Amino acid sequence: MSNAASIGIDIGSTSWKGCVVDSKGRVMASRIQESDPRIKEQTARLLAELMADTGASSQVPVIATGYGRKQVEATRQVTEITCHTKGCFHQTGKPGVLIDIGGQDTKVIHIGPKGSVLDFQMNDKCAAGTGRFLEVILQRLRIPLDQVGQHISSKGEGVKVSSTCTVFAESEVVSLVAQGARVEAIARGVLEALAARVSSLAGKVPEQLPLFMSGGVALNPAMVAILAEALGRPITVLDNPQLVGAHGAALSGGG
Amino acid sequence: MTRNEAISTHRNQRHGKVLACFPMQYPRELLTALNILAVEVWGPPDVTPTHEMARIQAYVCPIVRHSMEFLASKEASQLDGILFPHTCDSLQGLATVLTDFGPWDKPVFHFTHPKGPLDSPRRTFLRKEFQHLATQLEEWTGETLTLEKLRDAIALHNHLDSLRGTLLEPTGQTLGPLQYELLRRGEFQWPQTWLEEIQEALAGVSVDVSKEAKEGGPARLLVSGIVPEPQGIFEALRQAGAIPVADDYAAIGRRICHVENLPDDPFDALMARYEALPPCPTRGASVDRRIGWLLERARSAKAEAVLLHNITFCEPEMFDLPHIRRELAAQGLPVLYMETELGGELSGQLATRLEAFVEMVLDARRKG
Amino acid sequence: MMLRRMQYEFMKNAGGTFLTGLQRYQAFKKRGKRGARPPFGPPLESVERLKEIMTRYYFTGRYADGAVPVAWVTSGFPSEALVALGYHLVYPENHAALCGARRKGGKMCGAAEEFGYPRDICSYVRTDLGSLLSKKTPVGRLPKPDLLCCCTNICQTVLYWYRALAKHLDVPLVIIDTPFIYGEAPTHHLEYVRGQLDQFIEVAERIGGKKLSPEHFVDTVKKAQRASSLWGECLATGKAKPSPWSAIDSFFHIAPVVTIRGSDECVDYYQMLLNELTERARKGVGAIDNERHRLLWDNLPIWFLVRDLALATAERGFQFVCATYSNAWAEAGSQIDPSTPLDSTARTYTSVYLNRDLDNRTRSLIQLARDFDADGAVLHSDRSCKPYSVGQVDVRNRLMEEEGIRAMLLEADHNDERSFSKEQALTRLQAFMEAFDE
Repeated sequence: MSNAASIGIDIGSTSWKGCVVDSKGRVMASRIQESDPRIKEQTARLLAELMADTGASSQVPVIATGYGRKQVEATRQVTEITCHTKGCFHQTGKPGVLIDIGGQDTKVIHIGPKGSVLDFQMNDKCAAGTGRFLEVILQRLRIPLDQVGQHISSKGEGVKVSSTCTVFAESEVVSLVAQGARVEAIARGVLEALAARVSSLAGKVPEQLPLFMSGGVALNPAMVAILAEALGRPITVLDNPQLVGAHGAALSGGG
Repeated sequence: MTRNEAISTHRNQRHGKVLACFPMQYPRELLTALNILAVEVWGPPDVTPTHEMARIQAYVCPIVRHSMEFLASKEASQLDGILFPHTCDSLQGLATVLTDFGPWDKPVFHFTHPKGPLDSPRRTFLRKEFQHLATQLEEWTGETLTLEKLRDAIALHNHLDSLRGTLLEPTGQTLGPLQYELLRRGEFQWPQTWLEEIQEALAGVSVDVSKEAKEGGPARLLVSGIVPEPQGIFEALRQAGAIPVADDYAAIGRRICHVENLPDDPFDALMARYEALPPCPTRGASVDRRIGWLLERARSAKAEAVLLHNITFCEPEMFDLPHIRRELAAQGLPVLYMETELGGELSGQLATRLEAFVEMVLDARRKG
Repeated sequence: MMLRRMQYEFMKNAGGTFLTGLQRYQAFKKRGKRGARPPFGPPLESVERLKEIMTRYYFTGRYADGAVPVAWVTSGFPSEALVALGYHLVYPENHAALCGARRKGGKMCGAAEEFGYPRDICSYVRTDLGSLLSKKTPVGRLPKPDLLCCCTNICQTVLYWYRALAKHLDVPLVIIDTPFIYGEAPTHHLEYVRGQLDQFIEVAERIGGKKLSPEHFVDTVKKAQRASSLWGECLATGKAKPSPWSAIDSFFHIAPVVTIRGSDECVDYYQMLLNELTERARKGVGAIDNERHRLLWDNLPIWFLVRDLALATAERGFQFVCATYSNAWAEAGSQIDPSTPLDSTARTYTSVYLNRDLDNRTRSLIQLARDFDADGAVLHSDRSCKPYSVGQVDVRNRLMEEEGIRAMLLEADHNDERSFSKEQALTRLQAFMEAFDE
């Protein structure tokens, strides 16, 4: 008899995340993989693996979130905003402001004392302020996203990258390189530009509320540090930040 | 009845002229009294872009860009003239580009409504502006505007507005794509015909007297913005689990002005109806008045949240946004702001945002 | 109150120094001159006086509230009555431009966005609201207003902007609504503006705590009219070949006619500038060393790019000799007739450049190009200014087809450098200039 209570899957633009939880909401097994354009096949395969790992039967509810949530068969579909909130509140048990920088979207969610979404903001129109922005620009600088921490200059030494539009910023970076600016200084400038955009999305965060961060970009300590500088406050990175959405989805399964 | 049918019916049966009218506020009563069919141009949503649209920069509102394309197309040849109310800089720009650089060579009329609170210089001006437009339209049509005709037209529109209000109010639970289709038909329908259509629709509608949020029922939204395009917005709302229960769209609810006792003098009556219009930034209403109005609408319709749905690059709506968001939130009404283009489908990102918003509203309802 | 007033008067007559965008621009031009191939001619001497005037203007402002009545006004507002009533005037547009020229526009816009104002709102508005909300300004401090005065003759945006200011500051707002003119203004439109002027003066008197003296008012109108005329004459010296100054210079020298018109200081300044420019023209001293092509500029300056633009054009022997933006201030103001001050104020302020139909504006633009013998035109397609920008595609085509003037649209923004790629813009400009010599 398996303890599996529900399964959450979070199909994002850059990665596929899934986990199984028991009746107390604890993660029993999880999977994180780069997104495959064949969403259905990937989902079927990884779900089978998760079920095999935990002995979960096909009766266990599957809750899907992420931009690909409607592409797959699931017991329920819930938006990322609600799922990240649930995942975050499960870990912290307190109100606060959650920042999730995803591949396509950046969300800033105000979580209430009971774990409800009080308000949320999302980037609109373009990739400005998203993980995609970082990815595109850092690629230009030939810096792998996960190693950016080793490739940036220290505070105050960054070059100003004023464009927050991905296309414009890319061209700005190209010309900075052409002018002989140090790659490390540009990299810092890029991270600062992203932080400024996210900070403007977040608006004024009330003093007493802690800041949390989820999503893949949270694994990047340099980015977290610069974002904390921009917001003028420390940021707590949630455990397994990439899995928070999927975990939250699984937690939505209980009712 | 489609737009084209309405136009040909007007031409063949009433033998009147057809005037393209731009958003959003103009004295339609004058047009009706002079047997002019108003055909409103809010885009249209689906046009095939050619070099005509490229004459207007991409950072200008799509109503203006689409209209440029539409007015240069063959389809626009059914129109006899254009009326431009002085709504915003971009529409004013369109008016002048279109006439000064073509291709429009038929008559163009302007209606300049005063900006700011209706004090004495503004009242004097507005009255003269009504009279000025009336004279111009009389000359154009060759019809004489008798006080009687004008009085009848005003009464008709006043009645229409009362019915439109009813259609939006007590049937809140059922307000959806169908009601909107009917409400927006007035953008080209002859007013008397439209009135009959609305009367017929109202006769078949059951009035929901409870007007309460029901456990397990959809989230109740006050919707505001410019124009409900793309039309998929209502289906998206329904799928997300929400329904509009009150409306402040500039194209719809924000133009309803029913006056209980109309003054006898028709120009006084026009003034009274104008004054009764809901507040709008394009006419310079203060931010506080706008917020007060939205709150009142939300309360009377028992709305649980507010959707501000703007058209991209529409500046007047943007200035009120941070204030509306703050003050309504303080009253327990969360606000979702989104911008769309006119045509096409709602993007997946916007649909997600709507869904997340509805999840939030319903969660708040559950937790009381 | 007395003390505050003394402080204010003292500051009004004292100097002071702070760095303005202008200073940087001038310093930059001087540096350019020391280079291997100096593209710029000797800088204007009047600049020192201009700096003094503007420094004192902003410096005095810090002490104005509590000392004298303060009004925040739009650039196109008929401000003569306020000047005559002793108000200290703040021009948020000028302040925003100053922030933009110092490349603080983007940052301040960001502060307004943090509050919730969307990014597609005019960047002057976002700069100023951002400054107000973050309490940051390069001028130290702006005095709090007792009255907000908005005139819709330059755009409808100011209407929304000043409503927002009224909301933030909880201060009374006067709106002078000037109906847009297609062809000729109908009589009732002018009467309407006149009616609002009368009403506005009553409000300004009540808040300012004194009656407007007709003599003082006429005197102020005369001075404002004189300053505008002199400004026009200054601009006209640019017709000389080589042009003794550039349109980019004029973007900075326009500040007094915007902010302190109606004062003796303003008149004196333009007289001084005119003398210098006339002398330069007589001696054949140009703003750049090698003027080969003469360009017209349309729309607001791109404040954060003026230096780059000046250099990019000067290096290749191109010179901006005229601008519809600078010209608008000469065109309108000089038409006020002091013998009918209120009626002519109503007419003048309703007939400003941006409040007229495109046909009228295009004819005026073409006349300008002809008068200044421009062989090229750069039309700044300004994301932040719809009333100025809508129609430019057709204007450009007319310039090319009917006037034989090469013209380009340069898409940018007057104050927000964040949605802009300098390299792309300068490359396009360079390609445009290369085509002249093919």
